[in-house]
Amino acid sequence: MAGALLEVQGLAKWFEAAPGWLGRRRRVIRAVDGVSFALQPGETLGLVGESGCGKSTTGRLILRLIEPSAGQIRLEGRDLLGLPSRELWAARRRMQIVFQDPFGSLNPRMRVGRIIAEPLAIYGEADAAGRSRRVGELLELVGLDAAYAERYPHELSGGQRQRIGIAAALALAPALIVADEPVSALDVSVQAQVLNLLMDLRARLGLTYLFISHDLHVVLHMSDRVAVMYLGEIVEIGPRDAIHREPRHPYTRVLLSAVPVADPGLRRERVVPIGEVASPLAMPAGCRFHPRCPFVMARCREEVPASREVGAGHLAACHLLD
Amino acid sequence: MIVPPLLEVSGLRTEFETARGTILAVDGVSFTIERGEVLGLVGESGCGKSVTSLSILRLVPPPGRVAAGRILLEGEDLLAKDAEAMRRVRGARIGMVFQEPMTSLNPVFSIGDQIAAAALAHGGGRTAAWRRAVEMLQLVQVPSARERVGDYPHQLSGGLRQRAMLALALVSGPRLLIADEPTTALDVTIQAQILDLLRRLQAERGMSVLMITHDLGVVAELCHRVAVIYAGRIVEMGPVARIFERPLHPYTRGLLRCLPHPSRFGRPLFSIEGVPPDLRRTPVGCRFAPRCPDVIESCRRVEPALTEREPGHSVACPVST
Repeated sequence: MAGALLEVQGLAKWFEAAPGWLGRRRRVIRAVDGVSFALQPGETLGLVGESGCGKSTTGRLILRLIEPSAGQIRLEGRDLLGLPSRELWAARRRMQIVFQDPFGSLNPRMRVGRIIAEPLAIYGEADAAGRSRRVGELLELVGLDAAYAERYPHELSGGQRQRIGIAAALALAPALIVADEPVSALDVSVQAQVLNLLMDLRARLGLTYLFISHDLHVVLHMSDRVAVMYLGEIVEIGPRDAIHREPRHPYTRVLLSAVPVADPGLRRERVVPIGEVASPLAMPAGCRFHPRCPFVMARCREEVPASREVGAGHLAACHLLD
Repeated sequence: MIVPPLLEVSGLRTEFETARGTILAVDGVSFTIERGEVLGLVGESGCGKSVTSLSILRLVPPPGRVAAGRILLEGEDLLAKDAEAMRRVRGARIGMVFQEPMTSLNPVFSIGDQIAAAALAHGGGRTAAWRRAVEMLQLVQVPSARERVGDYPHQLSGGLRQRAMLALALVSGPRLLIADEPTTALDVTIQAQILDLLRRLQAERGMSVLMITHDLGVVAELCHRVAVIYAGRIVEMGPVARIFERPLHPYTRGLLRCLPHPSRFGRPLFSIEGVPPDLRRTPVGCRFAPRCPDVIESCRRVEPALTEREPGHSVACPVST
């Protein structure tokens, strides 16, 4: 697609599991297994799925915090996997990550000002005075008083820490933010503040988000488009409203019906999944969702369903759609 | 004869003595649970909801202690019981499930051993107890229960461990089940299965349930009545349908409006500014006043009492209408 900020093609990460006691043959965990999507500038793509579906690994692969096993990643037209290290270093400042745990991701020995200034120092941006001015601006941008620069992370609440994490991610004025479960550790009242801040920053700075969360409602709230992942694959991707109102993959329907809604009056379809997620070490043949699918057919057990277009920009991989 | 409620908590006050002052974790909490009723206790981190449930079970860890109040189970005062009598109450009359199954399951015994041991305490022989363990696992829908009964907790997935813990909690046939965030650590599809299971077991057995949760969605799906707790006090309590449709307390309203909702995806969320107060120095007057959008002058002086506005629906706010 012309002008995409980020293009991901056939991205994969296969981890080798430790062999068993008896030295059986090496086993491979297909954590991410052929994921493709594109992100337009200013767009938010939500990545949703349950534990172990590969959503966080996908985010980290894009930033090359983990080396992909296969696939292509193009950021602003440049192939990130083919870049020599010097150019990768330069490209990296265009993309940043916000982590889930605002308690674990900030260095407890550093003052907030230094945490936020660190990326600027690494990339040799501005002198000390310029950096400190920029820290003040960034703090105000995330809704904190500039005086917070003198504080240590342990003096701050979870919501304030997450704001610091966001300020640090914004220091180098990146184009792409990978937000990996950014509000999952927060109470709902604070979660709302941080989600509003992220939406506000997107509008003011023209940011592009890859928004990763296990919480389907949060993802639907934040995203223009949503990709649903199951056992390392995208099973459905499409515009937010299509995913929400006309989900085509049974797993998406299962997810939508499983989320408890704080509205006793809301009538919903209840599609209950069977059992639990298969181990990625014993990947089911055919469609990976078939052992849990309420609509499973004979061919689902043998044949891998191809992704097909079911609406404008709406793709799903399910034999029921034939 | 008037039958007393199954559980009646009144004026419960639980404190934690620390080097930096006394933390009033629960401060004057009162509620009842009728037979066959599911009451949700909902609030954010540190509001005192878990300490309330631990106080009922008399399991508050030191330096915490119940400083005042009454807890009546079928009319008997739990706070007056000695440790041994209380142990029997926990073994037989109140079942408990927690967020983390490993707080109740012993890692060195198989789940069958643990459930059978609990069954044995109620009489019968070993064979009968083992058979009962299998039945309990079938009741909570552990697949191939006959084979899994010998499994150790670490061999089970999170969802199955939660089911095993539920089987252990229910083997004595308790009248009251206290469930403290039982689905919080689970994936959403497994959560849905466990909530369906809880709903079915509650209805079949006519148990009462005290459901402790931070998730208003879980309350909407499972509970008959709800008590909203903030900074150690109940601010609103009433039937679930009523409170979700017309919340009266500004905090309840805020909690409901700050969640992403299918009818408002993508629009700015309502947010409650600020953070809950330090429980060593709660503000004079209403504890929510510093964050309240509807605050009036008297809120900062007088702590509002929980008062009934319409039958069964109480609120602690002088402003709300």
